[in-house]
Amino acid sequence: MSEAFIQLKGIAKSYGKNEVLKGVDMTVNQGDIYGLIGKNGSGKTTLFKVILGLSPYQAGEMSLFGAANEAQNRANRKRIGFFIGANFFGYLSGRENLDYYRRVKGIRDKSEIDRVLGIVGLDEKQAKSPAARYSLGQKQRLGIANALLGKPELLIFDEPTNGLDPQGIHDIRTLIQKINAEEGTTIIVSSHILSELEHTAHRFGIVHDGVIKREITREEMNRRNKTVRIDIADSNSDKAKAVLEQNGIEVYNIARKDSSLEEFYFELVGGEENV
Amino acid sequence: MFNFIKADILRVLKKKSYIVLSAIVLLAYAATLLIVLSKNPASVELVSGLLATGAVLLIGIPVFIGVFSDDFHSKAMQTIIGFGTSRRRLVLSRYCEYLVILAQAFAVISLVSLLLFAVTGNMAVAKPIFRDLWKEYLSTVLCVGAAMIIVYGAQNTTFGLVIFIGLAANILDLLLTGISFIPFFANHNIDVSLILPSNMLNQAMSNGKPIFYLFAALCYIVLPLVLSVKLFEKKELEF
Repeated sequence: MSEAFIQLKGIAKSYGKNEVLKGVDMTVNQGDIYGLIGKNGSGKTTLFKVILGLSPYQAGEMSLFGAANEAQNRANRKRIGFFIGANFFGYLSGRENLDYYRRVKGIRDKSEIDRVLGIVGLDEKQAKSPAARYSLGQKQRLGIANALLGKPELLIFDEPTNGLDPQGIHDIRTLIQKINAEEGTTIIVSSHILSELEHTAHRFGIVHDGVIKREITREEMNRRNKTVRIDIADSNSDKAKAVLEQNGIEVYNIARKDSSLEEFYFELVGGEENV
Repeated sequence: MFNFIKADILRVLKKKSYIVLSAIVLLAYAATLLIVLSKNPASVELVSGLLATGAVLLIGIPVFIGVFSDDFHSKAMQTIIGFGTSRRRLVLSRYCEYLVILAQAFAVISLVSLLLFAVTGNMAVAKPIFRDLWKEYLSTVLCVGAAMIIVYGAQNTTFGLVIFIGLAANILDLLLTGISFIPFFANHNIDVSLILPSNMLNQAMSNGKPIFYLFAALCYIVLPLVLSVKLFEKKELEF
């Protein structure tokens, strides 16, 4: 059985009388892509801040990589890379910012910067520009590059596709799957857009009103479906219906499936290979 | 901790606005000193204090912004704490960085001063310049400690900078000297302004007793750092 990298039990946090987290239980196992889903203001970012030690909590227990106390949790945070929001010095270039964090993290290998820039697709010209001039998409990429420095075992991405164009969203989604598949990195990614995580994550945590309502694997989700979808050409739908009914198979619904806007977009611009 | 200090010092030294401003201050300082030395070398004693205070303010403020304000605004601090660095270590390292960067700038000013005295053949009157320059440095070491309580306790670098300027520019000295004339203090012969860093340092230097240095260090280094860490320990850090 895989090791639990993050285990939260009954984590509660409030700002004055406003209870933001009301007893959160959450388990993230090694190798997971864990999708944290919830609407804006449901407590996703606060949960990440609690995990990273940026926000104190009032009740509950937290264990990172099996740590038994807060001192061990703090030491184990070195195994986590994260991107919650832009965290750069505008007057330094992207490369200089990464070099700053490389030194801070105690990474001796300077080629690590080229590795992470390559992964997120920032070219040398972009990397040499001051971070203050970066577009939103470039800032997201630089933030993810920073999270990847030193090959952490666990990555935390808070709404990494916020404000990105369709190509950017697709690139980040593919990147997350690639890092998980190729390097075995455990990843927690949050979003308020369900479709964004549906095909990326292995496990889901549905956070609502300060609690995780349910944790569910993708297999469990699939088992919940009791109907089967068969895709056939539009012109054959009547024939197919007749064949099924002749064989005593009840047809609940026949619907024309349109291409998604995303599929149509990529058909037109032909770009799915940019990651 | 050495990682953070080194990384941060290099970061501040790469900031173009800091480099340009430091160069301008250095040129202005050298030009003023050269004028004084060419007109009346004996008056060095009179202007050395003013030059030192000017240098500490004009270089100390950008260093303060580079070390503390930029750290807050960039949210680099959050990344470092999220990486498992204790807040105590972060506060201490930022204090050390400030001292090292300012010392570097003062070392350059000292070197330029030394060259000017040597070139103009006025080494005999050089002592007050170096004494006042490094006394101001020591005074700044104390001022920054006090300002850090606001920076980390209230997470407000702007107000922290105001406190720093108030102490380093002796603005608070005027205020506290005025308070000392209130009958209660005047009758008991209490000079409230003596609690200020620069005055404490003057007392220590004029009396030559180590106890005054220890008292100043306790009031403006140890206590502020302990307080800064304690106040910062439970603060919420935003992204």
